[in-house]
Amino acid sequence: MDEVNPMTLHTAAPQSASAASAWREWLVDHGPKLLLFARQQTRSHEDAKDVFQDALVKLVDKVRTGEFVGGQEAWQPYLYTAIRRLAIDLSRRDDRRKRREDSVSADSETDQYEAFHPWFEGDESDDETRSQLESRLKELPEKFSEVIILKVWGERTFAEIGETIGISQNTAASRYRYGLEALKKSLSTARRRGDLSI
Amino acid sequence: MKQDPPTLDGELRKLQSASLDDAFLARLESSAAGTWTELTRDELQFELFLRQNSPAGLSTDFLTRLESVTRNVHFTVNEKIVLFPKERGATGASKKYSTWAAAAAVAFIGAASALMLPSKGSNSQVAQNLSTAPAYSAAVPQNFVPASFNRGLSAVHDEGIVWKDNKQPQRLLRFVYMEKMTYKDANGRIVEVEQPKALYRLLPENTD
Repeated sequence: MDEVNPMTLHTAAPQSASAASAWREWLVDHGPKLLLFARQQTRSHEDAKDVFQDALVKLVDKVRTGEFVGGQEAWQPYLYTAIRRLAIDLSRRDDRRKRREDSVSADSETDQYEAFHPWFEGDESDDETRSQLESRLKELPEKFSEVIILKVWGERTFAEIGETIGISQNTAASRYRYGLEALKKSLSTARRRGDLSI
Repeated sequence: MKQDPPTLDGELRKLQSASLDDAFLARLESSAAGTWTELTRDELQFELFLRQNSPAGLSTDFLTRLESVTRNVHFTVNEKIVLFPKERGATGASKKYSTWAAAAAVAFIGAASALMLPSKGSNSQVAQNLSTAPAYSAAVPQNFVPASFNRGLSAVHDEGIVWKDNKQPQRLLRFVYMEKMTYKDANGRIVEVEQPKALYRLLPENTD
């Protein structure tokens, strides 16, 4: 077998290959929190994936044509905003469609499907805690849960959250505080009932 | 029963608007003081508890779907950012540069930035920097003397907003130059030296 010079391989590798690998790394790093936000904004796991993908297509088109203003650090804020807008559009379309369809059986199928695609994972918490957290987040008013997800898992500042949602940073902080308080209360109730061991 | 308008008006005037509750007053005070966005220790602790639950990773098929979207699209890397290689257990052979090399590059860029950026408290503008030409004598043969200098500003990029320690938003601007220095000797021979350069400036950004 011929010996392959790694240097030759490196030189011959097309530039697009390294770009693809860089994109992949970026997606592996930031994709989970963007998808989590998309899931909070949409009604199903599949919708969340579609919305996330559409937002990425918009970003990539802008980067490709040189229209995108700002560097790589501006990608995430752009994607959060795009995901939110696309989710709102999708929700409006779904509402119109739902008026025409009987959705009872579809909803129950969706619930079963969602159970196989939990929002969270991790070694530091148990399945029950993760499942309770997901349920309680879903029960919160959307305006609270979206801020919590952007702040805790999206690691956005209140100013950035304000820009994404179109509110002031003080309003973002208020929603975060009320949401956090409600979530804490809700999780404490679950703990008292024995549903949770935190 | 019918009341005539003047009587109703009088009754309404007797009513008073409800006073603000303590929590709302505290919130208004804190917002006015600019501290409402600072979290308490309890809130930070609860936030830490929540963070222990990581968002679920992307499935392989979905990641592949997303990757296909980015195919043939240049991955923009900020010039001021040097990528540190990630630790990979079994793929050491594919490592293209070492952590030490990246650290050295960061140190070099830091030193270069320190030379280019104005000192703290200085109000000097970029234009003032243009008046002094840098010395490229190391790259020029002996007996050649500087004849002309052109800073060659080619582009100004808005790099977006950055937040400094004092919570003051700053707009980061990148000025791109192609500096051109011409040297001449006694015989009229000319040596031209070109040097690409980027200079970063932070400008305070207005906030509402």
